[in-house]
Amino acid sequence: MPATPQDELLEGLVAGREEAFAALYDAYGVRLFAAACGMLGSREEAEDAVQDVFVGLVQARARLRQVENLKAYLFASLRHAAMRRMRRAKTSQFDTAEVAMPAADVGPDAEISRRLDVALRRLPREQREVIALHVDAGLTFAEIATVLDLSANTAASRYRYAMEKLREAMKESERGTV
Amino acid sequence: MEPSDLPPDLKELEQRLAARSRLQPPADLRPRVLAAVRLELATPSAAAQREWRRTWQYAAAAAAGLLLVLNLLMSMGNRSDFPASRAANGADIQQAAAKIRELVPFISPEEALCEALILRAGSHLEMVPQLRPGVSSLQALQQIEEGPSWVTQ
Repeated sequence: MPATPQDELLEGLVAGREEAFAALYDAYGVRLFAAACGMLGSREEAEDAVQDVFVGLVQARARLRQVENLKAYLFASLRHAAMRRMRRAKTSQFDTAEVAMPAADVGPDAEISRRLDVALRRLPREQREVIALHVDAGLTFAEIATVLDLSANTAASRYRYAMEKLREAMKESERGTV
Repeated sequence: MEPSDLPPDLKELEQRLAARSRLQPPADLRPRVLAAVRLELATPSAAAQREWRRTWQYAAAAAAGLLLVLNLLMSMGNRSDFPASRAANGADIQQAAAKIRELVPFISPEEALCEALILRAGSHLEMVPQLRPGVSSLQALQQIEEGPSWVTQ
């Protein structure tokens, strides 16, 4: 059976080839960072969490051959790294000042984005997590289920519940109570 | 559940969420991550470190065991209650031990037996000529006839 691109990438990672890690960063770095921002709410913490994931990969590279879904493995590692950082910092609540909108974004869309981010920060960690993994990282519910060690149905219903909470938070925000 | 299962208002919210402006990773994150990877690749793996630590622990345990055995052997060697009665079968030994106890009443019967055994061993020493290296057998015999210096061995 011919080797898939994931198999080749995994071989490079297991062999400790730096270019394999670079290729992995190019493929998933942006999405990992976006999901880390969603989970941690701090730019610096998100950067450190992404670095933790890659350092952890180097340390565990001998076991990577057993990985079936590299993408799910990466985001599960990211989640563990984020949780470790949260425990260390004892802050699971987002710091609004930390995740500021990019300076170039102004206008009504930027205002909606800002309000969405504020509403997201008010959600419980589990709900933020599932939104970050689905919307920011682009994972399917089956992949989220692997990352969170849930069934796909539970992952999907958690996402729906999180979206309902977010809608309520946005309505409150529109009423000016947030 | 698929995203399409969401009601229209949640679907719209999801689209707004996906389209919102998001932070991009800083340009220096990639080189920073790859530098950390390079550094980690250069350090010995955790498995190798564990193996090294296990080897040292084994060596330390073996050394500790050896010291313990040596210590026990030295303790055995220094025992003053050596069971001399088992070695002292002859009546002469028993007599000698009794005599020793008469002369030195404060020592224990076991010690007296040990002393008696030592005395007996000393009385059975053979006289042998002291041969120096480089001396031929003939020269040695001549030395004996001339009255050589005797040593006990």
